[in-house]
Parts: sequence; structure tokens; C-alpha cells
Amino acid sequence: MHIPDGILPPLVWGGATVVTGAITAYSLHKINQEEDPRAAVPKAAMMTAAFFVASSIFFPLPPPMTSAHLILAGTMGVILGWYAFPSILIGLILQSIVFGHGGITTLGANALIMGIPALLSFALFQTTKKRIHQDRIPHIVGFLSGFLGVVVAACIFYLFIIGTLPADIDRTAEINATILLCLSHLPVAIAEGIFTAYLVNYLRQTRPALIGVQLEG
Amino acid sequence: MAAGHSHGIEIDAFAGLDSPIHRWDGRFKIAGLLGLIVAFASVQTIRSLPFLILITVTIYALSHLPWHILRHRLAIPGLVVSALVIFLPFISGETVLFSAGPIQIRQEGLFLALLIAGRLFCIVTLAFVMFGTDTFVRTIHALRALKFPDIMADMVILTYRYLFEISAFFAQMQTAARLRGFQGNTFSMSNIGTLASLIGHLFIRSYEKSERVYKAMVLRGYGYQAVRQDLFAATRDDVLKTAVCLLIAILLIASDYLI
Repeated sequence: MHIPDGILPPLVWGGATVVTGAITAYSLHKINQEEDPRAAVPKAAMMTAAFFVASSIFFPLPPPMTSAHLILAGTMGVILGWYAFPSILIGLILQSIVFGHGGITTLGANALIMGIPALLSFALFQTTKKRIHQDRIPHIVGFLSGFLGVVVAACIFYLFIIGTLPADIDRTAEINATILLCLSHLPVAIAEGIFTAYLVNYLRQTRPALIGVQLEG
Repeated sequence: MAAGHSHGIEIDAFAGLDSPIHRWDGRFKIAGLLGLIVAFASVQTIRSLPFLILITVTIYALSHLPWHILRHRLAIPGLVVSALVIFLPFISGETVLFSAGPIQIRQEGLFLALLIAGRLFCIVTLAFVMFGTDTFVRTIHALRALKFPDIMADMVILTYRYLFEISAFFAQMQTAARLRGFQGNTFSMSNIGTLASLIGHLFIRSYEKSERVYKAMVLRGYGYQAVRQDLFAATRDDVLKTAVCLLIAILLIASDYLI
């Protein structure tokens, strides 16, 4: 779900770059407020590498679909918190430099596609963190994080693509196409929601510090 | 379950070649080529496209980077862009160039598709020249010298350092899971649960390793070392190359918008 170079008009990629810069600066400001901001750098870097590897995994879907790769935007928000947005940006920079995927001028747009759902999941997780050991809460929060991660990312992606088509194309058709394309991601979003529910519960039971909570009891 | 991750091309593989682009100071090279990339991405008219391609091909030829590697770099973004723009000549514009029954090819849509494809080719090529003519770590140091935030630069270098190690570790975990009978290629709640445990375990191992790495970094003085200022030394040639690139960038944008 990355937009390559050359597609977006200057106003759109320029605007997305400015917004991404502002969100990154705000995230770094929040990180710098921590007691030792550099202490979490290796953790964030290592987790970025782990996310990079995990997001290339294909998981099976029910027929007639075959498989899809994990987006993990929601999971990044839950685990990395304020580091999620800079981590996503770094992942995209690496993808662009090392593997030639994504784009240079579209870094801002691609960071928003993945970063906004990550921050939404982070906010959702923060509000429910105190009740994380209650029955079903980790599954519900995990599912919503994974589900919203895919749906929001897909919607932003298609808004960027369809919203920048030439003006002479029918606007109603564009809106209908955007809704249809977002809905087509529902099976993937549900599967990633289930995956994230399992993952959050697994981390809660085995290494709760990773999601910033205390061990149960 | 299958890992679709490819290690791709080692970006450092061509850093040892000798060319005018390789000898260009990293900071000035990024400033000059990024200026051109921004100008290329801002071009809106098809008449500028031949100039973009000419400039790009000239710079790539000067870099002495192999052409077959460029083809490899262009494959995936080219495929994505083709899928997105292929319908434009059929639905956008009013000037019909060719018509066969209900199918019409229109000039405006065709030109827009060509412009997008051309911009993609030029930007991907210049980006490869920018990053492929120096080692990855030196490129990040050059970005740091251009005021890229320190925390972000540290994270990029560490992520790159551990990416392949974590990738190899996860491949081992997948093999172990398969040897124990895990068949991840069919949809079931149990398979998703197992996959979540595998990836959760990968996160925990990475997290534990990061704690050890941080302690080792602190022992080596991490956070207390001054940033090295002696990595780059620009000459008049470096400044001149960057000035030429920026001048071309300004002329391209001006001609595209004004003429």
C-alpha cells in the first residue's frame, strides 16, 4: 500500500510532506520529554526491523481470496507509542533506499497512510490500558487496532490516488470507487484484527512490558 | 504463511566504483540531486519530459552504475504505476486520438499516463544514483550533517544494522514451526493464533536484544560523543556540481509553469 514517485501532483505530495514533518516533529518532541530519550532508540530501531520483517509475511485468507501480507500499522501504534510514526517513516526510508520500493517524494504521503492508523491505535490502546487484564479487553482492543489499522490505511491510500485523478473524471464515480475499494479490504482487515487480538493477548501474558503494562496480579 | 521479503540489492555494492558522482561530497550530492528530484516531481507538462529523461540518463551514465541493476530497481514501482495509470487514456480527456467501437484513446489521458511514467523513471533513477554511489552509513551521516534529526539517524542505522539478522532469525523460526508440523497455508483461527505467537516471539526476542544492545552502546559512550565533523570535505567542484543541479531544477520548474 505504498504510492510510488511520479503519481501525486506537487501540491499533494508537498502538503503530505509538510504534515508528515509536523507529526514527526511532534512525536520527537513527546519522545524528548522522556527522562532519557535515547534509551528507547535501540528498542524502537530493533522493533522497526522486526516490523519490517513481519510485514512481509503473507497470511492465508478464506476463499475466494488467497493471502495478504500484514500491514501491522495498528500493532506498531500499540507497541511503539510515540515512536510509531518516526519508526514508520524510517521503515519507508529504508524501503526506498535499500530496496527501491515506495518513493522519495511520496515519503510524506506513505508515512501518513501507515502512521495515522498507528497513532489512532496508540490512542485507543492508551484509553483502555488500565483495564487490559480484564476479561476479553485485550482481544477487543487488539482486534480494533488491527482492523482499524487496515481500514484507515486503505481509505487514506485510495483518497490520495483517486482524489488526485484528473478533474474531468466523474466525482460521484470517484467517491463510489473509493468506498468500494475500501470495502474490498474488509476481509483483510478482519483477518488482521483477529491476528492482532491474538498478538496483544500473547504479549500481555508473556512480556507485558513490551506493550507498556504491568504483569497481571 | 510465506515470507515475501527479499533482501533485494545490497545498496553498498556499487559504492566502491569511481565516477564524478562517487567523488561528489555526500552532503552536496544529496542537496543537488534532491533539488532535481523535487523539480522532476513538480513538472506538470508533457513537453518537459524529454529534458527530464535527457538529464536523468546523462547523470546515470556519469555515475557508472550498471544499467541492468536500474532495470531491477524500476520493476516493482513500474508495475504499480502501470496498474494505476493504464486506464487513464480511456477515461480522461476530450481529444480522441484513436477509436475502435466503444473504445476510445484520448490525448489528455495518454499524455498524463506518459508524464507519470516518465516522472517515475527519472525520480527512481536519480534516487538510485543518490543512494547507490556511497555507502549507506555515509549517506546517513551526510543526512545528519544536513540537520536530519539525531534520534532518527541513530534509528535508521540501527534498524539497517539488525534488519538482516532479524530476517535470518525469523526464517529459522519458520523452519522450526514447519518441522513441528505447522501448515500455515490454509485459513483457520488456529493458524492465525500460531502465526501471532511466532511474530510475538520475534518481537520479544528483538526487544530483549535491544536492551543488551543499548547497554553495550552506553558502555561505548553512546549519547556523549560529539558528532564527527571530519567525515566530509567539500571542494569547489562539489559546490559547482550542486549549483548546476539546482540551476537546472529552477529552470525546469520556471519553464514548466511560465512558458
